[in-house]
Amino acid sequence: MPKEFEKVISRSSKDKIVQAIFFGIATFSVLIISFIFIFLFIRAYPAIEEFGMGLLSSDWNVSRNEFGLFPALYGSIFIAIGALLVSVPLGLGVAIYLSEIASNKIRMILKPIIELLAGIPSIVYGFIGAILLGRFLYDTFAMRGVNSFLAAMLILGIMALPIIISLSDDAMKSVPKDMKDASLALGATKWQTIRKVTIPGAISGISSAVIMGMGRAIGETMAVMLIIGSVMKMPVPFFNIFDTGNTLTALIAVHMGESHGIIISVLFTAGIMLFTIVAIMSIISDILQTRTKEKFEGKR
Amino acid sequence: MSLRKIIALWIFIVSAGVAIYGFWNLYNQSEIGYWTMAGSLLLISVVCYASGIHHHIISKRQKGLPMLVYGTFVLSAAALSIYIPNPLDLRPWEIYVRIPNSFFFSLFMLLSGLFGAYLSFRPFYDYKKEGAQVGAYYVFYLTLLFTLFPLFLIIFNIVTRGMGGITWEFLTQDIVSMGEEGGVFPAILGTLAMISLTAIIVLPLGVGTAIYLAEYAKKGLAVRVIRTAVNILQGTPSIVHGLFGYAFFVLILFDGKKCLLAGALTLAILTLPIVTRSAEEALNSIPGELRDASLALGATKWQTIRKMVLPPSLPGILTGTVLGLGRAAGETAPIMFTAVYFSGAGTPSSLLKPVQALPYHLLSLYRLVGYRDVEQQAWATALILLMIVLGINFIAIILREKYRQRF
Repeated sequence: MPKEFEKVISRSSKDKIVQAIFFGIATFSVLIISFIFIFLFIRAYPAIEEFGMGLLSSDWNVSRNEFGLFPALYGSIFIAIGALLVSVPLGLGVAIYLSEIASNKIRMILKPIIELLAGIPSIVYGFIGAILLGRFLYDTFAMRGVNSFLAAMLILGIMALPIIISLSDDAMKSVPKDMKDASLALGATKWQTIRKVTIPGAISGISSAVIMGMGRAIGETMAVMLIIGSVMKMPVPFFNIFDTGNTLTALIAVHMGESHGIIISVLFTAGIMLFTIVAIMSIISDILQTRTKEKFEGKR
Repeated sequence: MSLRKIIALWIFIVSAGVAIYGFWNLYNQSEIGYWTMAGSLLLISVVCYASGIHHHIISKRQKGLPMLVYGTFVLSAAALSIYIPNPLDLRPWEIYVRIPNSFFFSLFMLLSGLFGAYLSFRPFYDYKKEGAQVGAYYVFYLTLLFTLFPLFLIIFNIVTRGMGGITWEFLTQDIVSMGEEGGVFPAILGTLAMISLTAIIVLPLGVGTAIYLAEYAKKGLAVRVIRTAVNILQGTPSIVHGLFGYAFFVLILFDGKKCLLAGALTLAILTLPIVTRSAEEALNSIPGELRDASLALGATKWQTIRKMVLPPSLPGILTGTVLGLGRAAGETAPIMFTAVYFSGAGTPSSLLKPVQALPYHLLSLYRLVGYRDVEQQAWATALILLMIVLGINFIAIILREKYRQRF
């Protein structure tokens, strides 16, 4: 075999090795996801074995050995819905403004400013929310305490804004300019074009943004923990935004440091619930996002 | 200026003024008299009627009806407002709040002012579609205002309340007597050490994953699974990372002891998807011609990536990494079970010892507020944390702007 040829083979086989190494690195994310699930499950198993469906009841009483996680699950979803009521109208308005109305110059200034909102650490949000907003609401509405669902919803609404703005901005930007121009050429105003062309075109991307925002709100820990006060009970009546309650995240964060034995295991069960809910939401939003992209792929 | 333009402006100004007045009263927790409330509503409804009649009868364009309906709505609100007790006490229904009338008032004025403005912009533009557009635009400006206002409030409050607590001692000493005295020096060092270590761990993993996704395989089942995993990882709540870090790194790898390395590993998992995604984006932005040219000259794929693709995409990769580190620096939940103590850890000396960190320091101080005199210190800690995190983000933004100019 000529020497040159040998060199070619060794070069291409070296390339194969390099590719294999990168494949190995890339599988790391998959590995981590399965590790998270496996190790959470190992720690949660004692509680699941002992209490079974009792973990889904609404009775939480440590001294009577009752660990129903339903109030926390309900609180998580309740707060996320309230946060969305704040952030979706605002976020969509800002996204439409940024992607369709603002000039390039204003956009270049505003985008980093809105990214600042995402940069503020959640513990700082929580601190501000508990100290300033909590006390303000307490004084204004003469509530029983500074902790309330309302304060958590407002703060989480602000925290979910950046992700909703940037994802729906992307979605609206991905609607081909030709389609918008065609609408404008037919005599429609910019607002009519936004309403009839841009938003319907970007709707799956926008819903993916809303789902991601909800996932963020459900998974948010430190801010919620400081503001909600983490009292393991249902709000009474169930829609009472002025009451206190708990979320899965706050429950874990508060009790993890000071508990042992079976309670730790219960907390890991809460972690699995949280992880599953948010993972499902990520997958749905991912599917919706690719759908928007594919929709306009051929038209670009 | 025609009459209908004056009317439109009038509705807008009165509504906005009254809404601001309502919010001001809400802020000061003072109540609003019944006649102030009913009077201002009456003022608006009278103008609405005038406008509606003007459009409907005088200009004979038959478009005044919405205005008349709206005027009636505001008028009935004025009449009904006497029946709203002040404050509205919800305790009989087991909801322990008393809602002051200024709350309903300002909210109603805000909404009705918006709607009134929207209605009145239409006559402003002779009922052409442009009128609706201007109305809609004003709603968008308002959403922007409502988005930027909290940001301003947060930063303003932290800066003004935190400034007073920042002294030379605060920046250079360890905490003394549960944070009442002393400072945050070890916490600053701990945070910086943690994110540096995180960067070292996450860079090869993130960039490697991105290279595989962008350069080697773009389609197929394996790629789809990897991509989904990255997305799930990106959405995973930080407290779940914390639980995993505790269950795996602390309990299994490090014998049940919190340490710097365990925290950095947990934060590396948190930042991995951010780094991967931005690196992939940076690699994808390199034109295909560069690769083809290199391959045509006989370079192997790995040589092409190393010499042609990676160097120009480095700024983009760095931007993403720095952004991810900014997020990591502010996170509390992933490190609270894996790496940090409130006090006693001292300056970081070993990978296998616990450290102090700013976010956890802020949490601990917050828990002491009310028991000890630490609120000033907590604000100062929040300010330092914010400056570090926003400083990191600022670096990332500057990098990105430079990068944008290159391509």
